[in-house]
Amino acid sequence: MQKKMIEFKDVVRTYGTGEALQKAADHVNFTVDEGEFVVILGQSGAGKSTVLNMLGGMDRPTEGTVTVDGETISGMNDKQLSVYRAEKIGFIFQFYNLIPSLTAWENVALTKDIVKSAADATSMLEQVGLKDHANKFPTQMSGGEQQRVSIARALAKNPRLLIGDEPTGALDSETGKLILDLLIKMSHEQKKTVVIVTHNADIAKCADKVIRMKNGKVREIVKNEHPLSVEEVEW
Amino acid sequence: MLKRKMLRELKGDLGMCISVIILSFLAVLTYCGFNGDVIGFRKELKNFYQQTNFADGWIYSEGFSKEELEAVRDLEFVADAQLRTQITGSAPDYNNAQTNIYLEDENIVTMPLAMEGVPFDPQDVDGVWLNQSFAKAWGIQVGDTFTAEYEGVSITKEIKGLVMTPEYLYTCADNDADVNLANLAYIYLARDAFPVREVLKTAIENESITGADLSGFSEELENMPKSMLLALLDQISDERLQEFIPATTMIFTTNTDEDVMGYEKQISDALHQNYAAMINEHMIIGVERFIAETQQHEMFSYTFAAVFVLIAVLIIATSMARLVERQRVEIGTMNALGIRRRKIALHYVSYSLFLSLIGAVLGFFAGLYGMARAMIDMFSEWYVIPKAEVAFDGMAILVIAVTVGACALASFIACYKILRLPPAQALRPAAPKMARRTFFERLPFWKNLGFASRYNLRDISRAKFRALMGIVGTACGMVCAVFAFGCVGLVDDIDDWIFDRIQNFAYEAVLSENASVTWLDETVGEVDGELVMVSAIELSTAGKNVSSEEKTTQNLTVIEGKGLYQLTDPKANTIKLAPGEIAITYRLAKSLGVEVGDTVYWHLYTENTWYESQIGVLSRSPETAGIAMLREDLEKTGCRFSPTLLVSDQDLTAYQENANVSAVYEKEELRRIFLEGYEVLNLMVYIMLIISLVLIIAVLYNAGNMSFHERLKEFATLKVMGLPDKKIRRVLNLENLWLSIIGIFLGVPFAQPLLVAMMNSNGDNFDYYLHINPIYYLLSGAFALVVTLAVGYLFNKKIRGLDMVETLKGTE
Repeated sequence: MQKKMIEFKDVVRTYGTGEALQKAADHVNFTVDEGEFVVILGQSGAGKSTVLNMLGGMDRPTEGTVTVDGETISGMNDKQLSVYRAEKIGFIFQFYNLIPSLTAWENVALTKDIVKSAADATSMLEQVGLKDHANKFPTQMSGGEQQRVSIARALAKNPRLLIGDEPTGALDSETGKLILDLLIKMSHEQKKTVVIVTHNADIAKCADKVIRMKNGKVREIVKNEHPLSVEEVEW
Repeated sequence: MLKRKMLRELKGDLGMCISVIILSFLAVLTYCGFNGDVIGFRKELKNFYQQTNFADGWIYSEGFSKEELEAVRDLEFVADAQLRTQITGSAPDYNNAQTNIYLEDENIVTMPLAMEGVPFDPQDVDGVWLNQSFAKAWGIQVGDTFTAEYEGVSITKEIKGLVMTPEYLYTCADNDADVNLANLAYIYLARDAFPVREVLKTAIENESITGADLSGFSEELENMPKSMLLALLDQISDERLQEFIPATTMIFTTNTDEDVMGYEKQISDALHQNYAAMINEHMIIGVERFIAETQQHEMFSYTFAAVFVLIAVLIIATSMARLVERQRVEIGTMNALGIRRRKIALHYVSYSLFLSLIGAVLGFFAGLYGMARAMIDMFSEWYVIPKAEVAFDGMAILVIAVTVGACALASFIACYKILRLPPAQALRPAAPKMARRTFFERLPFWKNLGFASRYNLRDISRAKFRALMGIVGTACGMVCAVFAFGCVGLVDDIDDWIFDRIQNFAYEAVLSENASVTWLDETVGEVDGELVMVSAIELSTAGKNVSSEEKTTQNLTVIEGKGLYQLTDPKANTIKLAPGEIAITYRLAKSLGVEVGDTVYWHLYTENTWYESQIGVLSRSPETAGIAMLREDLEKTGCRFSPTLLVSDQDLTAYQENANVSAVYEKEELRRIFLEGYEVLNLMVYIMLIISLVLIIAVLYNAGNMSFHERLKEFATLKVMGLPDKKIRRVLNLENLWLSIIGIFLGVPFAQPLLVAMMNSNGDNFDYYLHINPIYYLLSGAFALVVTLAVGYLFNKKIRGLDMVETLKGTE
């Protein structure tokens, strides 16, 4: 039996008060097993990024509990969340968010300042196929290359959980496929739990589990018995 | 609508707003603060001159005749002229305060201004007119009696008026290091009110005047014994006796605006060269000091205003460039909507216009009615002037205009770049700047640097202007801090220099004008003391009997070389004068262009005979310029040794009542008075420290704030990645710390020259050898660093409250 990695239990996240009260997440319940590749799918405003932010320790639920790797993160203070993000989470952004004034190698190597056990930056870049781009600055690289650096940076911390907010959203389909393939490999070969949010339904075809959200609620959770390979997907 | 936009956006960038307001405020504040008192003083001084018909020229001699006065009056350019006699006595009822006595038989030039009572009447033999500043210090009123003592004779009269004259704008008693209004009285008396017969009688009885001294009147008197002289005195008419109190000064006004020194040849011809010296108002020590002080304030006002305007422009230029870059799409939208470029430009220019105007107007009022008012109140303790009020001139308005204009121009230049773009291009976000290898990467230790160091070094390379702003601002702050701490050390240094090295004695007796040489020679042996002569001279390098342009007024110090009154070398170490060696003060030698081996020519101010001396050594004294020599060398020249001081390690207070002594001071008392005079520096310490504090905070907070906002997305990313707030703060503060450290080192070389310039701009007599103790540099550096670290803490809340979700939401 697979170990339960993530559990969202009756999670509510509201913004504003009174008449302006908005429920970005409304009694969200789901679980994710260790090593699963999960896609949270939904249109803009569905609440998927809110869920991802809570999962990433960037936001806290108003109600309910979020448990990751056996730890209830919803009750953590800022300092504990910072440690959680440092040790457990690897975050991949839609627009890569690399530090423009650091080279690819330096962007990855800065993880040493976050966790002492961070992996060697050169080998991480090698893993994502960018060993030769180590001395390039982000502006000297394509979007796909930047995203690969971003993945290398996320992986360098050796996190239990990789989360991505539209990680292929800013890329063309070919480059997007490369990135998606890389993430799936991380999940299946390195047993990393990967959760990404996207509005692209085609990506969901490659996922082990798909969580569909609408208006802040989980509408459907589908376990994909036969996920497609990246080559089979078109978008 | 655009106004609302501006106000809302300014609210959102409060750090920059406050910095610009503060710097514009400081620029105008320092200008108006340092200049407001100068203009006020000058305006009042002009009135003072007019009301008193202040002289344009002073001619000194051993004695002027009525005929000589008429000859000068007959000169075409002379408007008014009169004679007067000045002698120095004391006020026995007021701690033996030095009392300068003016005897006049007419009152048409440099008329003492009556502040209370009736104006001076030179025919009124019953009254005395006393200076108001002394009266105030002792609580003396019109109608009281005042006693002055001269050569052991008391002159007691009713005070008919309390007066003021521009000649005493700034002055101190001969024995004081600085102004102490309670120690210097000056009185005006009708010439006929002076008890000349009694004075002569007492002097003969005391043997301070002997037959030899009177031989100038009649050769028969030379060997006449005291009893015969006294008998003879009774037979001399009152009119004849007036010759014993000769009119030693002729004062005159001219009917032209030209410098009177240009007329010296005509004056000299009219007087058949029978005079010792001629000066104009600028050579009056008090007036000269006042002019130097006001020039010093002017220098400060321009320097500080320029520095603050420069930093404000740097802040505006960098901040507005960032603001405008951030609003690129908005500018494109406004342009696309049809809003004219000029209007958009005006809109962005109005940001800095608005902010700098607020700062400048606040600075104007705070400068005039706060700082300048405080300056006037403080300097009124030194400068005696009827009623000075703060004032401003067109330059203040110009400084406001320049401050506001420079800030507005910086804004315009920042937004002009984007305004030139076609709307379609401006509507698209700007392409990210290409990152390039920086200079720092060539450094051998680059590879060993950590993430924070590399990150910040590249940030500095990317935002050079911002870094420059931080460095220049901290450097200026450092200069101000060293200046402030240097002022504290300066007083200790000068105190030590004057009272421990130059004045190597415990007691000082100020001698009467005609102190008996016989008595002095006896007494100096008794108390194991040293006689010192300090006298005003005219000095020239061109030769004897030269014109005014070729000579300057200086001091002659004559010592006996017993080591009680010492000289110091240009590095303030004590030196011993060898027989035959004449010392000249360092700054004077430099200004005259003379060195050891050269010859100088001089004569006592009150005598017409010139002497020549060869310079043997350079000396330095903080508050006296001139030449110094041993008594034996002075006597070799033929000049009479007339000691003014008797100094000793033994207690001299027993001689307090002796007719040959005007006053006796313990050195510690002199030291206390001296230190009181330097209390002004305490104010400078506070002013400079506040300026330093505000400057460093404004500049570094603004630099940090800009750096924070420019790297907001990056910091949010680092936070998402789990980098603790503490480390993010360290990254941000590290950059400011570097800029601050560079600024601190850059500021160091400028601090000492500025302090020396300020101290030496007090007048040509001042020559400070300033060695700022390294501890003060360390203290100033520590001060700047503490402020830098404190500024860092201002970002704590910002970093702690950084909303990762919101910040990264808008990322494109």
